[in-house]
Amino acid sequence: MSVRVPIYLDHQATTPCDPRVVEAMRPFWSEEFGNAASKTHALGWKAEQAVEDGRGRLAELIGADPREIIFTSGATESNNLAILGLARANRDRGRHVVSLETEHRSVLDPCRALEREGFRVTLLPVGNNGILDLDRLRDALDDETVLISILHANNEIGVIQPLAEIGEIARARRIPVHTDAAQSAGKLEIDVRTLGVDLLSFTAHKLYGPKGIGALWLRRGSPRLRLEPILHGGGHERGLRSGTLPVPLCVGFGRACELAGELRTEDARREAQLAERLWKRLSTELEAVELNGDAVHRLPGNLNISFLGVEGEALLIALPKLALSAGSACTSASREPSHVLRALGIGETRALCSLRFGFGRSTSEAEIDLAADLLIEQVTRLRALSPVWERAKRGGDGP
Amino acid sequence: MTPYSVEVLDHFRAPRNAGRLPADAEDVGTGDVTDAAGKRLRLQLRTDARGRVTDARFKAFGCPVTIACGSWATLALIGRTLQETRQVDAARIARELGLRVEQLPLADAAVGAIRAAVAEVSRKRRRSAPQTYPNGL
Repeated sequence: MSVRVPIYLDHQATTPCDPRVVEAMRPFWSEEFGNAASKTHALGWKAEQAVEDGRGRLAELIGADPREIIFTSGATESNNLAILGLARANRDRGRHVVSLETEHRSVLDPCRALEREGFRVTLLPVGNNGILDLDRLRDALDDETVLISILHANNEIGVIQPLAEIGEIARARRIPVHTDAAQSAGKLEIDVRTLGVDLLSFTAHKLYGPKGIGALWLRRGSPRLRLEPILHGGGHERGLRSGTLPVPLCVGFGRACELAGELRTEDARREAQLAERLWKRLSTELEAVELNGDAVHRLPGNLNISFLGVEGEALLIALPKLALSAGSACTSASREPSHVLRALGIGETRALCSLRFGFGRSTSEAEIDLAADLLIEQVTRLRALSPVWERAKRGGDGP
Repeated sequence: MTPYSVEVLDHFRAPRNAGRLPADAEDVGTGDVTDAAGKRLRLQLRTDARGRVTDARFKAFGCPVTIACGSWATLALIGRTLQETRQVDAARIARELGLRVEQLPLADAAVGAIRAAVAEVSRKRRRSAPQTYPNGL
């Protein structure tokens, strides 16, 4: 079976837009080009209807009420709106925010921005498996805490956090919980009524939709969530996110969510099999490969592997037929080891030896087999060049 | 866009003189440097009785530039006298390998390994050179 190269194994970074999504968006660029906020003519009404249909499909994927969905430009904006918006609106109640060391930058950086505004931020550590210790969370909360933001599934190691238990702890203290579900929406079954959170960020391009659109789910009902907008203007999206809605993207996001709802179970089953297939070959045919993050509580299509003795960046460049990532983009000589892997207590050298694999809807067994062949060949070649590997083999102080 | 030049990729894909020399040998000098980011380059050279480099080997753990610097340096060293190895400096490595500004620290690290290897073999040579004493003693 022929395999098209490069083989795309970076589905955590983005996914290809499904052709059915592209087709659904097509009329809304030039023919049905109305502004969804135009209330005075049919073009506007049609655009509004298309946006609301899309919103309904997003809501359906996560078990929400469509009125709880705010369209944004992506998960980064959703995270900013949730964290900055909620903390600022509740600063009279307290100035303490709790999050996790292994969060994405789009959560960590708004938290740092809050610190500059006088908030205290507690970043909780994780265990060696990447999972939050709930006792640490309990200990971190105080009367000043106005928000907990804990990601659902990690973008580098795929580890899933226990949101239901986190939600229980938070509810007892009436503290709202936000989660960044960019990696998990459309992949794991999500029902926001039972997930244990009050706000949830997700984005289209991680679930075979277009780039440039995301959403924030904001729970309605009691106790009422107060949020301050971060963009000011025409008062769109219930005043929480001003700006003309990108109608084609709203439609595409909706269609992608609809497809995710239909295909999610089968996608997850296949991706888990592919991950197992690759892991089995690498771990039996190469020495000293290690899986990073919890082996059970993880996304089905994610592997993060350390190839001891081989620097990840070198391995990436040695594999032009594979589209892969070392976990975070790196083009400079001063590549830092991943903050996520370091938070798991993984040493600097091993952290530098890690690659992330992300399987998706179109990944085939033939692609996995070729990827395994190439990885085994190049890891072996680069280890022959590596003084770190030589030392480890000699039984020295190892990598 | 790849941050690596054609020259870097050439050495990375087909490294010259990868391997090791016996570090304990009297005619072998070893330089081993690790930078702050954890990248490591070990460079070894062997000299003949007149102090000319007859062989050089490297091993590297790091990005393609680290590996390319090691590979290129072995070619640049073989055939030179220990004195002449001073001509191999970071600017020359950067020029020959087409390095970008942010990659220059790796050339500095390679020069550090070269200088350390030369210093070690020079020390060994002085130690093992036949002692001559004035006045025929």
